[in-house]
Amino acid sequence: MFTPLRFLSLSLLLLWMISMNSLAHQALPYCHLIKAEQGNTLTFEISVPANTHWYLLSWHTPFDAWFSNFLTLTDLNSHQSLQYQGALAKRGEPTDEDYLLLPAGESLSVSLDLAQAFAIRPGRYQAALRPLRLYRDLNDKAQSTSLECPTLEVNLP
Amino acid sequence: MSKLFKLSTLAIASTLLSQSALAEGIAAKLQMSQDSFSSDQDVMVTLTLTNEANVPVKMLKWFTAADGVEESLFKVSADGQERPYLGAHYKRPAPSHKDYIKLKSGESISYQVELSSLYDMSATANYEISYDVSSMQLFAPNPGQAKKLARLGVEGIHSAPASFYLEGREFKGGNNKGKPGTGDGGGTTPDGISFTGRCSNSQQSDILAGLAAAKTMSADANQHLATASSNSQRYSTWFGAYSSSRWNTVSNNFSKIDSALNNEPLTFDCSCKKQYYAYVYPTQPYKIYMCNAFWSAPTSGTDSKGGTIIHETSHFNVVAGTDDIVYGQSGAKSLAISDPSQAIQNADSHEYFAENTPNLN
Repeated sequence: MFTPLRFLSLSLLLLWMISMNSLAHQALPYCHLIKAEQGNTLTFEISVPANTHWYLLSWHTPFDAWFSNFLTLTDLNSHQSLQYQGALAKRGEPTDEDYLLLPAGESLSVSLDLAQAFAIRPGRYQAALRPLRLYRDLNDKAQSTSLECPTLEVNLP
Repeated sequence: MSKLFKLSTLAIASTLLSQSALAEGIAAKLQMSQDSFSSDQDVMVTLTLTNEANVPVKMLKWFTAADGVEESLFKVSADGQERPYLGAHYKRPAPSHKDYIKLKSGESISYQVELSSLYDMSATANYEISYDVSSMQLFAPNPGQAKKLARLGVEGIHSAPASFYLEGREFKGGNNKGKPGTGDGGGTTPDGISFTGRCSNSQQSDILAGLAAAKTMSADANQHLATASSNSQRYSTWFGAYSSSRWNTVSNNFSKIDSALNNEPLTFDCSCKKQYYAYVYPTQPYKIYMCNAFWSAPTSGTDSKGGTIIHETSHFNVVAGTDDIVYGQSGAKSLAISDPSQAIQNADSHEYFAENTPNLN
């Protein structure tokens, strides 16, 4: 029988399923590395879709340069990774200030001078970032999403 | 330098006018917090500047302690011998309006200054200190004033000396006298430990206590790895399932950490103001930069001063070349379960194994 109560509970279930679905497939930001015009500089950019903001834990990301080893540079000729020469920091628990707000519909970028952290010989390299950790809500940090940015192959002078 | 100062003073004098009094209108007074200090105590002095003239005076902030000490403001001597200033000197552009503070007639302003991070106080001695600032730029520019100051031969502000006794760190542990400070904040202890970046007495004392704890921890970790059985709970909690090659790697890491702490010339720097515990450059042994969270950490136990020194020492490529893969105890425990080969490369995993808090067998 199709009672009003049953109709209500069915539609609530349907609404719930839609909302769960949208959480799981919430449009993620897009991140990538770009070779800058000059020298050994890369630009990191993260772009956030409209309608939804995110938080990024800035540790171990390009926004933390150079206090953690967040970037691997591999020489494509020798297949050796370059030694990281920047700093490594011991920290406590992250505070709210360590999470960077990524506003809906906006892009944030930061420029990385590779020469500050690597002794670079001219050649072709693959640049790979550690996966980013994204949060929708700082009051619910148990819910987080890992985001892998595509690697970049680049000629460095 | 003074020529340059005069030139820039003239440049400003021609564009700015102010109602300022003469230099002799400002009195400086020093007050020590104590008469004598032990080697682990900070040496606090209160500097009071009073405008005794009947008109307002503007002083250049750089030569007060308004934003911390940014120039050599004091003359310090130990048993009659002048001690060098170890702090920063700044190259600056010509001062602007916002670089001056104004004292009304009769007004006083006081600053607390910690001296052991700024001057070489490694020697046990009777110290004498006076505020001693001479600069043509000290007072707000005013053409009439500059001429009058020059005519009167007034160059700055000088206080009466204050004196105190200080038990220096270099005589601790007998007659193996340490080298004098090599500049930049603190000198070298008898054990070859150096301090740079303005480490105060209490900071040096905190670091040495942390280092002693770190040595105890590394010796205990070595002992455990040499004698415990392969089902050690302490090992598996932080480094995961047993394998002989991983166990050997960890043993090797700790024997190198222990050797570095006991035998290598360690340098500790106190200039970092970030909210980290500490950081290092893995390619630059054996210098450790201590940051804000270090000073409030306990000496031993979880995330302690001793453990932080273990953590940082493990990062050096010539020691264990560890990385920061995960942070915190819960992260390190999860990593041990999910990926033991990563755990043995993680600095916090080494730290927690060494701290062994809570105690595991």
